[in-house]
Amino acid sequence: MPQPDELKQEIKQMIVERLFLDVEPNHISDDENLMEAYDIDSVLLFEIVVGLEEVFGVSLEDADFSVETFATVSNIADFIAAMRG
Amino acid sequence: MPSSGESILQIPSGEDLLHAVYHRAVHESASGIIFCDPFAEEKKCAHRVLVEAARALTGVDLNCLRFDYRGCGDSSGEFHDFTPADWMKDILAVADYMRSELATATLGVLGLRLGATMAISAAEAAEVFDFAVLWEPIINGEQYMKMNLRRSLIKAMMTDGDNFVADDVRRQHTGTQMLDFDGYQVSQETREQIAGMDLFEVASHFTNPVLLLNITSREEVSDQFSELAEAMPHTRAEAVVEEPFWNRIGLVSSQRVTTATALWLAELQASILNSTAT
Repeated sequence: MPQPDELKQEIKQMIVERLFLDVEPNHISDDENLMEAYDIDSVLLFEIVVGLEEVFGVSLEDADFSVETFATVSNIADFIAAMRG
Repeated sequence: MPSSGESILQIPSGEDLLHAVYHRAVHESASGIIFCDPFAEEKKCAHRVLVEAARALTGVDLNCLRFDYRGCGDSSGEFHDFTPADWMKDILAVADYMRSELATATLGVLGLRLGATMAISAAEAAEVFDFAVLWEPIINGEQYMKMNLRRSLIKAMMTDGDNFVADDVRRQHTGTQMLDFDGYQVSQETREQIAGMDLFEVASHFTNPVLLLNITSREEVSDQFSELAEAMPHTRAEAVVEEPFWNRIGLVSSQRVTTATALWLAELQASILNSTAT
């Protein structure tokens, strides 16, 4: 299982790839608000959700949908870690 | 307004008329291709790309025909009165028109997302189309509808704030009433028909040449698309790194998708000409 920092790096890589962002993954900080920093709307957030399921093997339930969960890389990493138990 | 070499057609389907745009090949040709649009909002987002692709493909000596399904775009009827079963009949009506009225000897189909799935799923597709180009087809309709529910959940989550209730969104998607799906009134019948589509069930029936494009952020064809390619006897599967233009509102490049398609179609045209010559 990847260490927390490794997991965060993988999340950043996935976000950059899926959203075709013109930014280096390691330039995304762990706690910046992704929605504000990268103009992420519902369409792009959908790409992130699909990426989480495909790349990290987690399955989201209705109850998992909250803006807070996807707000930062740290929050997403916490969510994945919790899902993996 | 269509440019020179393009004309507007009205093609009968059932009791309605389909609005169509015919893009004549740059050089006189008896080969043609029908464009099959994706579903709902994806059609709107993909419109510019499909128009540009049709114009580009006239350069590989293909007459291209784009059309609106009944109840969509400029075709007659209301969106909520039709279902995918009707739209598949539209595809066959347009194919019949291309053969009989436009003297198309070799006819193919280019479909995007649900349009690709409907084209291959349409009854007699293998007899009607000599080749097919599938751009990121919907492989499993049930999964597609689940993804659409996801989209609705995310949209509601971001717009409703503290009033967001996931169960309300799910009830709308699973109930018997019309679903307001991004401004489109989608009936339960349409939802059920889409959910019942499975490309793996019909793939092996289509034995003519197929180009399967996996439009993705990765350079390898996904496992699911590879399996689909194996299930279709004469299929070339390629991954094209490009943004999913069918759900982007702004200008998104589709150059690689169009180029990959034009190259394959040019090769196919050459092989058809060679086989005719020998």
